[in-house]
Amino acid sequence: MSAFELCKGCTRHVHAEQSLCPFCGATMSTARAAAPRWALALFAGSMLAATSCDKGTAKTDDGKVDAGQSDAAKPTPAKPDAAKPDPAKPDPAKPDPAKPDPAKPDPAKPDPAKPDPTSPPADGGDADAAADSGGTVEADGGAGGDSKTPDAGKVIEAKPDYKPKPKYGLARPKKKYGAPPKPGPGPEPF
Amino acid sequence: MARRSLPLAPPGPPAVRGRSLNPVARPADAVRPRYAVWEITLACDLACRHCGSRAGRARPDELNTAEALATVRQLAELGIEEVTIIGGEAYLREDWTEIAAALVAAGIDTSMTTGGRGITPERAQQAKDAGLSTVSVSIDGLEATHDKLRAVRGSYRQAFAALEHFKQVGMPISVNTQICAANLREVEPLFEQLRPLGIHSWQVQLTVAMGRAADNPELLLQPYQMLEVMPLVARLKRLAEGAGIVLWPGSNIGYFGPYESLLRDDSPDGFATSCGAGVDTLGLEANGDIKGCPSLPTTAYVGGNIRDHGLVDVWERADALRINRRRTTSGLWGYCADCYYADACKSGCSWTSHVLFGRRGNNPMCHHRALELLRDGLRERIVPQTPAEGEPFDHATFELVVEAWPPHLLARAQELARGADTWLDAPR
Repeated sequence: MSAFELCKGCTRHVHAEQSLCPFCGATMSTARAAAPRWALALFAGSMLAATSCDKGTAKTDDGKVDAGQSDAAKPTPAKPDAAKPDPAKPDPAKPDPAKPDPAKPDPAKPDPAKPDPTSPPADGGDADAAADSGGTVEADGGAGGDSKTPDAGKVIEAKPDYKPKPKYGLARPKKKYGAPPKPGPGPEPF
Repeated sequence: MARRSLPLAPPGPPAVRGRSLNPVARPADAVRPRYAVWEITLACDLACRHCGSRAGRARPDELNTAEALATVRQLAELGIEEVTIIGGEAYLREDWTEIAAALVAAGIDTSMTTGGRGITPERAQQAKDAGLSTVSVSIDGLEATHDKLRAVRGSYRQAFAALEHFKQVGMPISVNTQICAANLREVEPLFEQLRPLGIHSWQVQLTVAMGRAADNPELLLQPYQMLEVMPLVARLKRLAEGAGIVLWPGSNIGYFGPYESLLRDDSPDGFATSCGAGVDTLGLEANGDIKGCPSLPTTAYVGGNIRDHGLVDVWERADALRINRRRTTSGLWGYCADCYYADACKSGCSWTSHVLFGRRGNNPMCHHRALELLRDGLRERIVPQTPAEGEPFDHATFELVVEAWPPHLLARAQELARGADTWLDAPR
């Protein structure tokens, strides 16, 4: 599953590898931009060098290569590409998700060439069919929908008028449907 | 004393028996649910116009006490940590406290959701004595609207009285509310009624087109109204937090709009993940039918019956309970198929989307989607197509109409999208 960063400009979740928010155009300050291929090649080269002559690469106490010491592994500055929105278009300080902007490329925008939303896909590729047919229809997708990326949804900055509770280290909410949580310590003993 | 049933509810169909299971469990089936919702009877003393299970009469083949107690043991064996007993009205079963006490004795955190009509001081004490950790009372608007939705005059006051009875015996109390077209403007005023009651939490969710709600489509919110609903829920969240009340948006409130991180601040991810039916959640109908989520339609999502198979076997080997365990985006269709958030969201609540179109994977009740369509001056509407058959947990089908925003509403819709505190048809 994708990892997301929270946009400071519009509080939308943005794919972590994107350097610009596709909704408001704000720069994602901690965007983990995809490293260019030349950087990956350089990194791979440095790793090879590390294994051959152990030069120029730090090792941790247990002898593993610490990639953080390699120049090639340093964060690559985010670079907008053609598939990302033009940062000059929207004003990050005034996000306006409602304003139509046909010139603004947007991966979230519906594709006009997309089939009728009320029509099921022609290939019928829906795991739900298993429930109706009694057969087993599953994709070979591995972990499934409940898998979590450890750093997914990392919060960069909250809205100024909202004080978020600490998210990390908390258990997944226990109550899913109807059942309220156990009350915390309060003035009235239960 | 509450009435045992109302005559307008039809008798329920028999349980789904004889469904076969896959021969073996896969590694993915080792996942275990933490939470179960158990309808212990379909008997009800209300006749809610939005009731998905068309509750009223007890099912003809509900589990007897011995079977229910055996089910408790199997729930514990499966690893269930929490159970909410519901109905109908759970308290209309003679043995409801016995079942509740058995759940508690099995180490399961047990709660009850109720309309509250028949909650007397004695019943409240019984709930306390059985060991229920908390109760949630359903209140769906201000007095006139609530009574109309619940189809019983006086039910609003009875719900508040129930909360008071529970409070008097020392039970932690909470409230749940369905947001629908009939009460959209009343939810904030309702909060002012709830604020002084001492509730610890408030769950809100959308009314879904199932059961009697499908028979009353005027109660349903339109997809484009997510532009109104989500700022409302965000306001409620802030109001509740200011009053020391936890607001729990239901699983069908979303998805991934500008309020997501606010509304899902309880989640380690900071956003709602996809449907958890058959992954972390289990549903049981009063006749022993087993589903991945209590709300899902019976016909398509019952994996087996506890009279035919062990609960662990159904959990691990029934196709209907495996639907989310290795799920990819391949089953998404319509707008959701190409959505920016498809991989994480997977069309959100399966229940909400299935009951509109007869299959899940395309959920128009989505804030992100409404916002993106608005960029192009478009909105979506659902239009009834075929009626529901009239059985518990059934559904109608709807046509999804994509159309241009009416010019006189477009500016207001854009204001809402920018977070304005207004309504689509508010006077200028």
